[in-house]
Amino acid sequence: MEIKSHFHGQVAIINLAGRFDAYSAPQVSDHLEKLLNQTPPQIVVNLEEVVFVDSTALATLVQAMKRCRQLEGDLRLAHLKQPVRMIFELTRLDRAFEIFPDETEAADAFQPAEA
Amino acid sequence: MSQVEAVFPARFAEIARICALVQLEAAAAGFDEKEQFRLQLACDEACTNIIEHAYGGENRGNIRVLIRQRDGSFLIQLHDTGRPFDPSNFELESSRQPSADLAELQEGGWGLHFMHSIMDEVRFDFDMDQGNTLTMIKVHP
Repeated sequence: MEIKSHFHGQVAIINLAGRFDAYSAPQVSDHLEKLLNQTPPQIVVNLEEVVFVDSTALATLVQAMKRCRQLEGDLRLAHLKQPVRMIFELTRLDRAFEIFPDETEAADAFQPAEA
Repeated sequence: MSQVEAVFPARFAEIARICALVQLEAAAAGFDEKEQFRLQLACDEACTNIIEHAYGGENRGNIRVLIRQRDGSFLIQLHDTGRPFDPSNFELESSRQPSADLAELQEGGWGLHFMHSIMDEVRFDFDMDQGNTLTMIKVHP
């Protein structure tokens, strides 16, 4: 899996590409862990180039999102394409995460209340 | 009838190859892209469970894969020689309902839920000499 990240203001944006599964999840988890040091952690995960997610990937994202919210921040998702979106709907995690059409919109949504 | 059989080392890196085989056979059987993805997901979760729970880690055995299409049904059979699967835990986990409440939001355990949601039949068999055999069947629409 390819992982790239950059900042949009105070918001960390992570772009993932490839297959997000039990094999690649530890890489993503390590990357997210480093970003949790921000105060508060404001993270957007762009899934546009992700072709597959499984339950291990979901667990990785849920754990990081819960940590972010405990620290008064958030982890938001952007650009979920079918059939990746279907996995979130199957687990109802589409209701737990804030999901945006693109990463800029997701990052900008942090600003008004939390800048 | 068409049938493919292959053996893979029980490593997370191999799951993508197993799923690619499932996708190839599912496409040949006429499943659309959405169903091909769902069949891959069921297989991915099953393989992950085998490595994590049956073998208790990577590089401790093999996963033998059988994919067969016959009489309108698509069968994926996975065999391992790890610890026996306990069916008494199966119903409990697969019946867990995902929650949207943050405090109660589960951080895993969806694997069996996916397998049951996607496949029409999921059956676990254990033989003291042969090991675990997981049979998953999807009826062709």
